[in-house]
Amino acid sequence: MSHALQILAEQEALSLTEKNKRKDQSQRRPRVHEKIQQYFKGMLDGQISPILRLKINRSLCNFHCAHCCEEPYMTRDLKKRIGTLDPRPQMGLEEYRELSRQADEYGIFRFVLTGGEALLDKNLDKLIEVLDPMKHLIILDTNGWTFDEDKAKWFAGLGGYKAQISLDSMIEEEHDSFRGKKGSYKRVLRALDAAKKANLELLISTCVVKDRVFSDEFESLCEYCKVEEIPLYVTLAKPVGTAREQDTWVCTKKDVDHLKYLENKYNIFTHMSPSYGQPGRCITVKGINTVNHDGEIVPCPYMDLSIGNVTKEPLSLILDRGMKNSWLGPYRDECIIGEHKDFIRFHNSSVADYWKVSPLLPVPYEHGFGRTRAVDE
Amino acid sequence: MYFNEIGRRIPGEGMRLFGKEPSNYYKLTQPKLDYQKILDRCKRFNVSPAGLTVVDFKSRAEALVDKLNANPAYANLLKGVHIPFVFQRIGSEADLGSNLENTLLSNLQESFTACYPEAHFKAVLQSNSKLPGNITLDKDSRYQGFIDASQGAAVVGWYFPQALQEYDVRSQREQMASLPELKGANICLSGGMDISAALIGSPDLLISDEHYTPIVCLSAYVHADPRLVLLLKAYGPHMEFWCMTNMLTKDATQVSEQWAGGITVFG
Repeated sequence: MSHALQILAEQEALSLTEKNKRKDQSQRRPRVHEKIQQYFKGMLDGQISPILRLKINRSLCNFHCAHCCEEPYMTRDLKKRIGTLDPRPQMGLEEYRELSRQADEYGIFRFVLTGGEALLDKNLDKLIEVLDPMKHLIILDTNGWTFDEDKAKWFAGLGGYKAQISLDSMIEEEHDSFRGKKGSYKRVLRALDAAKKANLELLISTCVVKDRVFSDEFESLCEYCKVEEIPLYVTLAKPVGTAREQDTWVCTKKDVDHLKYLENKYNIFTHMSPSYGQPGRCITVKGINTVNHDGEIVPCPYMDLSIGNVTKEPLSLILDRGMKNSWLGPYRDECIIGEHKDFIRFHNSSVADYWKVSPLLPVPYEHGFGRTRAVDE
Repeated sequence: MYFNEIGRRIPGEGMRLFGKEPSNYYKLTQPKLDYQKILDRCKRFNVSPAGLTVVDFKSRAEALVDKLNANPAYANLLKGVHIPFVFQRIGSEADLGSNLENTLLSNLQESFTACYPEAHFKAVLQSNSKLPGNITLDKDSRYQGFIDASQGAAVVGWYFPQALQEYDVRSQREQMASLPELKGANICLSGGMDISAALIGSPDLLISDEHYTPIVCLSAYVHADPRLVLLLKAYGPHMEFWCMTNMLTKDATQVSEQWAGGITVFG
């Protein structure tokens, strides 16, 4: 049987929904639209436009999830480990305003607000204002606990663009147990409904451990998202944070390949799915970077190693340094922190070595990535 | 000696590679060769003349292996993964880009999806780039010899997909200038026709449940936009063609552990 070859250029590769969203941005947020267009033009020159994921409020959280990669950053964990608070300053509003300015100049157009639980930050409205929702898409990560209709309307009213709500199992007891919070599953369903009513863009975020993608439960989550027309963002459990000792959770290539197969069947994606005209690949530096509460930039949501501090150096310099690191910049298909055993070993031993010197994460550049090879070295 | 113990080209002066020591993270498995199956696919998906027999295909392929084995400069090439193929140009499509888009990739898609009906094959041209009218041959590639030989006659050859793994694309091309001629056979940098034919015959080459496989570069083909390169890659269970940027940053080109230029030997 003959099938026509799909030749997908940038425009043709966009779904109708995505095209409509872009059209909408051109009217509602012209500067965002302009940056997206510039990114497509600059892509061939090596331009990148990564998401900046802001871990705010010292990663404060009201949950105790089994797979949390943030626990070592939280005050409650530091108190337990060393009996004192984190002495490093939390970035202030003016520093975030400056970060927004530098990001805009660089061509970046997406900020994710995360924690911990970002909604616990009492200054969230002021933060959104200084980040400037007309220049950047403001995306909120939430566990949904307090995200009711009023909160969703409040976030949309501030210029918020999207809510990313975590749901780790379609089985209520399983989700609540994984998240360490009874009643959480029901609140997630409420939060999804609230986000829809507030006309926010929406996705469900779910974490998979080894073999979950082959389960009936996971298939039922995919089906649910299909019926509800909610994109499902899948993250791989990483052997970091609370899960540092959980080697058995690490997904294999079979898990990841199955997800790639399911991408054709359902509206699901991972951080490595082809998007914005780029092939599926590891997105360290080029696709997403985390900004710790003190300004340290970590080139992936799940790593604990920094590539520089944005309160001390320009953002552009830090990102360029990251792109020239041999682990982070060059093209590679696999998720290095989720799948590459050599990298995981290097990462976790760097953390263990640094913890002998300091209890504070992330590991500064000179103690981690600074010890690895740059491209052309 | 031009190739090392795993069949990779030993880098010469000025070559730019990802690492000094070759890595084995992205790997291919040498398949058990089934000449009949390969020939059947090449015929079914329009890259082999119907009249070629398996006896002829096999004996011509094995004769090339004998020539490589007999040549100390080239014998190590056989220590790397190698795939036999047959290719004959059919029709009069002179433009390389049109031929790639309209004929070769379509044939490859047919072969791949026949082998993996639940997987996809797709081609993506980054930033609305075009193939027709935009592809020429690299001056050092010796690829014109392959095209001439395959016009109206069946070429039998071997594709060595990892011979130039970790080389940047410029170095994949430049190293050809220092490769000696191969007595009794021909050699070229791999490009669109030979790689397509090899993957049509062996559509499972880049697919693995166990490990990540290299991304193969069609480096004999040069896009008019010097920032663009042509690649074939697995995406999990799927196969994809990409015409995409070669720029790592605004001032440096890509150099990847996963990208692999190939060498093709044909007779």
